[in-house]
Amino acid sequence: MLKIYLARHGQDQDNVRGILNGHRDEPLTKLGESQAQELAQKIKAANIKFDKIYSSPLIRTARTAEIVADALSMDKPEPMPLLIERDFGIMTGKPVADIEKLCAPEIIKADIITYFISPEGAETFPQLMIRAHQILEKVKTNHQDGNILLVTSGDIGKMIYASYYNLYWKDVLTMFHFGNSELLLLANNSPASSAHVFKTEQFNH
Amino acid sequence: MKLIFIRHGETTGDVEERYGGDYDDHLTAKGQEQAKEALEELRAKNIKLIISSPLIRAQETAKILADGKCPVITEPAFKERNQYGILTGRIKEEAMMERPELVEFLKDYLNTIDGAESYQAFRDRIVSTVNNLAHKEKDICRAIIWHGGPMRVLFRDILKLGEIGRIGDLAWVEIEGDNGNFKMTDCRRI
Repeated sequence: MLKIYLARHGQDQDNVRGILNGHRDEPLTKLGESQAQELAQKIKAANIKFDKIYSSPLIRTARTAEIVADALSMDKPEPMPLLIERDFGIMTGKPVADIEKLCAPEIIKADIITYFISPEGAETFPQLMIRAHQILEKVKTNHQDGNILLVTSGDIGKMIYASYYNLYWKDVLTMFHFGNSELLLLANNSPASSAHVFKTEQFNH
Repeated sequence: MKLIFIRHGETTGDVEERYGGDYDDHLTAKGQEQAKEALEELRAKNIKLIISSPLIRAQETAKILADGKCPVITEPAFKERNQYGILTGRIKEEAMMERPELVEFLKDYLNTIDGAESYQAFRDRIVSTVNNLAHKEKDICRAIIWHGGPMRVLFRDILKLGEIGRIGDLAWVEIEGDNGNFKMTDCRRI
């Protein structure tokens, strides 16, 4: 049976400053590096072994994946361009605090995050659903069984979860928070409601 | 302008694993339940007109979604492609044993087997009919009840989003925009 694990990167320089990152390519903070270490140690402690690690090409995800791979004595993670975070369009680089002011009423408020729906130039969640399905097809084509880790970002990560369990994107936005360095499990024998393998203390959105 | 494209529910041919296309079968009980579920999901969309393919599975889905409140009209051009020609309605496993060469040939949707409609003719009727919808009754939300094949044409040739992997029963896609400049604004089960 194929088990797909989804990890979100540790805190990056934009996260800590409250800036919307999207395709901006900032490194992890010190805290982000230690969050990635913590993730790796939890994976080790749970005795989860990966056959392969794929990562989004951005620095924050590639570095998180590298820390995990090193801790598990694995080969270098393989970059998968499809795993890149949602393009935030004109919201890229804007303060998180301005989302409501700039995008209302086209927003969806979750507990921790306010999501913008369709600002100019941004990928929409329905578009991310198509990309998420392509990612899953690619993983399923390359691997019939085993444990695969995908290291990715929040918005596209949530849509990969939504696509796997055939859920409505709007429901998934408000269903749970996918925090820095947290791990989700997508598998036939694991229901959507118990996808969170690890939660981590969070210091930003 | 807002259009919502919806695939019909599960059919008897799906369950019996037959080649569909022009095969004119009915919804199963599960297919009817799927349509009722979608009716709830789509309530807030305020659909004022339903335009349905003439095939029975689409008409039955349209009737459930109309819920006795919304008019349904039929658009012959939204019929599924007759892709399977002389294999239409045949059980796939039997066809595989009897005509393996035809089954192989069908793997490329651009191929046209005996009795089938060419992909080009199919695509052209779907694209031109969708484009015509953009010019009338622009102020109301309209739903189109159709099939998997037209849904793929929508993604490939109208939205330019390429190949989509999955089109579930009662998959739906909401499109907004004007003058051929359409944008997908919502979706489910794809």
